[in-house]
Amino acid sequence: MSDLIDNNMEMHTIRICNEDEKDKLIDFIRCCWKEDHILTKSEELLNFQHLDKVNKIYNFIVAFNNETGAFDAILGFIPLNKYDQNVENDNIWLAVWKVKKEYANLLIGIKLLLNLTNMYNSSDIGVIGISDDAMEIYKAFKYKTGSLEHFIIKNENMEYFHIAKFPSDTTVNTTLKKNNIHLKEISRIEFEKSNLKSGFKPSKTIQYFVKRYIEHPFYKYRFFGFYLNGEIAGVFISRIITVDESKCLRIVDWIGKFPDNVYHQFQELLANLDCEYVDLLCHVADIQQVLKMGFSLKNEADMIIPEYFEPFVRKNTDIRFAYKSNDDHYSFFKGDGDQDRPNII
Amino acid sequence: MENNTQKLLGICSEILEIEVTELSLETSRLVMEEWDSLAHIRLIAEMEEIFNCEIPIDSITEIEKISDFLQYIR
Repeated sequence: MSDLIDNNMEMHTIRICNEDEKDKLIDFIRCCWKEDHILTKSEELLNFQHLDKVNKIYNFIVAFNNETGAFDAILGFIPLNKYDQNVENDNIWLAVWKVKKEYANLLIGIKLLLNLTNMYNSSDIGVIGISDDAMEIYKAFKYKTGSLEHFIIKNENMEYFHIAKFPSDTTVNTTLKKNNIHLKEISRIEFEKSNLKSGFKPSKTIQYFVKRYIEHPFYKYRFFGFYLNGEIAGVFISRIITVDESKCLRIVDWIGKFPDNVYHQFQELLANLDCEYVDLLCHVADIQQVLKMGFSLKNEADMIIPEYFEPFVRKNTDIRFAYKSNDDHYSFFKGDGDQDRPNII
Repeated sequence: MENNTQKLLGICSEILEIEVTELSLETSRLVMEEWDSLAHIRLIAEMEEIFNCEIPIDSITEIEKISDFLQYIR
């Protein structure tokens, strides 16, 4: 895996970062991204996201400078099987992509992308949370691009909102009636016993959710299941975000179905958790399925549903994505790739 | 041919934001800070659109000099 890939260049060798090159990787992130970036401060998080213990590599393709011995460009990636080696899908999510300015005209950034995609030959490649410049490059490489949809259910029993901002005349969704679908928090054992199948592409396994979320080294994710006639139909993975004395609930992933008409169940949950709202950032084939649950689409004209919490920034932010897949139903959730990770510890 | 060359230099001038008089077919990205990955991608996209040609993705990093575009637009 870490064998040389491209030896035609005099100055750089494009290859995968070896496990014993962690210090070089951290030096690069410090110098070219952010001095106190979380990945430079927490080896635990770096390893959780990028270390491949079996192959003794970090999941970064790098431009190794043959003269200085330093890394001059990196492109991080997270294969779906990072969290479940038995998963059949060969999806990879791309992550941080940086080049030292002085080497930008050598196109080593583009070479990293081309080498990585050729090396993995994945049927699905996705990237989420990208800049304008990166978006332009992915478009040029024929990736499909867009922005995550931001869905929300406001706690209708709350009067004052400190995290979000809603228009004063926000109407309550009264069209959805109560039903016999039951929502409850589920344990790891209950989740592992369930026979839920991913309803989305790339297809994730139960084990993926366990490793990615339950075993996360910093965040405490909570799993809630929708039960219909005693059978579990769908589970969402969420975490409570606290800003001063206020809280909101963010759904970062989903397995199983989006059940119709569960607005009242969410209202009950929001009341129990004392959260201002629940939101769901995703890109799915049919947004009507999400709306049918009782969610509304964020209306940016008069609503603020923040995206950044570490530190907290009370403004709307577009989360852009790009992907290449033969499947037109390729989906994104906020927990995909390197997106839902701490920024401050 | 001369027309294509002038057009080519004009596109490079616009995207690299450099006076056309400072460019020639021999101008190389290896000595130009302005000619980074993003500029390169913009040059490729513009060449493909203006000259109705296709530059294979795997070949784009081989383009080093402005004259290297000529093989695709002739």
